[in-house]
Amino acid sequence: MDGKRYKNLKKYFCIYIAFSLLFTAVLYAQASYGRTLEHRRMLTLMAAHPEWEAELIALWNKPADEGGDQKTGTEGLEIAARTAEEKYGYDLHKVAPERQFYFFWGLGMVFGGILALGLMQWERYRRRKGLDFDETYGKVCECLEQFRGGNFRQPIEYDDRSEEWMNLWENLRELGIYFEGLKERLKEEEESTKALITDISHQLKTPLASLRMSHELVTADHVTEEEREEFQRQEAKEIEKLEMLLAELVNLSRLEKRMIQIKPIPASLKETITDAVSQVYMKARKKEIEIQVKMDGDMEICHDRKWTAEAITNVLDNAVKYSGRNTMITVCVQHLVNYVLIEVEDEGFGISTEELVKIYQRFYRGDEAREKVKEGSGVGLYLARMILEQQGGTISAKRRPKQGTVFKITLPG
Amino acid sequence: MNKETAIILELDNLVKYYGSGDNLVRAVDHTSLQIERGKFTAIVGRSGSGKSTLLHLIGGLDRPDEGRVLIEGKDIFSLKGDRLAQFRRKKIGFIFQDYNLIPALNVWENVVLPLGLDNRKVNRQEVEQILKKIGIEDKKSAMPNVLSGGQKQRTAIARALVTKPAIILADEPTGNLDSQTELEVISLLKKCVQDFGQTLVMITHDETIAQMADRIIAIEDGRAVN
Repeated sequence: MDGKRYKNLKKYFCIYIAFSLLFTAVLYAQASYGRTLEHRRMLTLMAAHPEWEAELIALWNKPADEGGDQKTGTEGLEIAARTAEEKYGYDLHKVAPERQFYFFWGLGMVFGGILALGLMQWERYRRRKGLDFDETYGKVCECLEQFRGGNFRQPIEYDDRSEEWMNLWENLRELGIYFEGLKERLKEEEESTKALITDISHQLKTPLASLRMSHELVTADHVTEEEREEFQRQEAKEIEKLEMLLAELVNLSRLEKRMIQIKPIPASLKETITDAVSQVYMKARKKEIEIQVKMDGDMEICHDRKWTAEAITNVLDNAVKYSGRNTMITVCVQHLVNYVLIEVEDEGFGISTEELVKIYQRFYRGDEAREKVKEGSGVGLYLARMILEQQGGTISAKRRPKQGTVFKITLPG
Repeated sequence: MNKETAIILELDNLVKYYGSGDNLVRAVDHTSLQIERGKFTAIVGRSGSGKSTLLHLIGGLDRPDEGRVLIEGKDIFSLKGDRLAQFRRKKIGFIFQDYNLIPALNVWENVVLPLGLDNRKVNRQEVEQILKKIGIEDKKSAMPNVLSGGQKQRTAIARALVTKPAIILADEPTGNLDSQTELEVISLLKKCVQDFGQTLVMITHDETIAQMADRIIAIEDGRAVN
């Protein structure tokens, strides 16, 4: 560091000397040229007034420090000097440059000094700017190295010295955030698998427990034949329920793990809806529920037929499940500007406003629903929402003014 | 769960009062909350509960009396003047109930306006794509006064999307629309935000819209209640 400084000082000293010499030389040369001009004038003067020759020569040779002292000269010299000054612009005070050498030397030193200092400052400023750049550049490199090391959080201070750096910073940050997001998603997926397994095992516990109970009772010694038959029927029912639940869970876990890709392709919406309705038709008929579909003609929209039908089936299944006997379910399909709106209206007991936001949670069942209807796992609407949202659609529910609920499904059309 | 990057927006003990003495209105009263990246958050509450003030503070349109607003960990009110405006334009897109379209400009000009403010180049193809997605590509040269409410709001949405901000703040975006247009506009907004990986924060008093959100934050008397 010190060596460098010394070297720098030496450099600037050299520059200074060079500048000084240059300036001195230039000033000296300029003065000499001036003097030569004076000589010419003098010669002209001599040619014009030969009678003053002696005086003019004396004037010429007069030393500089005596230049102003007119009284020491003769009368003729005085007149000659005045005429020379007034008529020919001769400067009496102008002196031979040789006599003024130290003056020029000093002037050269000063000018040289100013220039050398200016140069030094300019270089320093340039270097500082360069250092700023180096510093930030170093930070960027450091940051990129950290990215490579798997750390996507930026530990460096935000740089808003200039718009360009701010932009670079923002972009770097966003890149980091993007990477972090990818990392995060992997971790989340892992966590959700764990949660799903916990949830599923929890869901399976209850029916399994009642199955075990029935089974134990059937095999017990003290039960009568009638009781035994009753328990066996109960057993069969529980097994059936378990099977249904299992089928739902398999669907759910496959969808959630993206083992099933939802592939929207142009297809007839009418067929999809018909499929969905036919799935719940028998169940509805048992309860004497009429299902009406209102749709003006068919429309071809991009959707995954199998899974969209599954989603609509789930909504319809709920409508059938939570409606009383002899009621009506209406499916109304409308084409909006960019979307298709499918409304499913029922005359069931409705969903309270507080519960409206919870019904799409995995395994959520409303208190009233749990009380009134035994079957159901709380998977249907969760699944429906997932299917629809993956296709860019939505699902929402509203209480109908008098009775029942209306589910509104939108799908890009 | 890594909090630092999952949280895009954080409000730290935010306070905003209006008036004084008996007329003191606690519009935002020591509210702290965090909003996750890529999620659709609905802020619900009755009118006068301080929802809009909160949104204005989040968007840096208004300064809080106390507290901080952190966007991606950066305190936005530590930025001065132009920098704040610049940061806001880069990070946040606004959608208002009244659309706030400029009547003298046509749809296309309204949509690309935010790009012009930052001297950014207009990528025609990209803007066309957004317009197509939103369903107003045939209305490019129409003036706002001939558009329907839904079309106006679509234009406003396109304008908010065009700068590709990380956060979209929507203040009752469907307040002036009928329920079918409302459903459609929200579906559209939700899909766009999903496609572009953006975070949507929407103020609403409509429980149907709130249902579509990933998270609901209720505001009561200037405070967030979960």
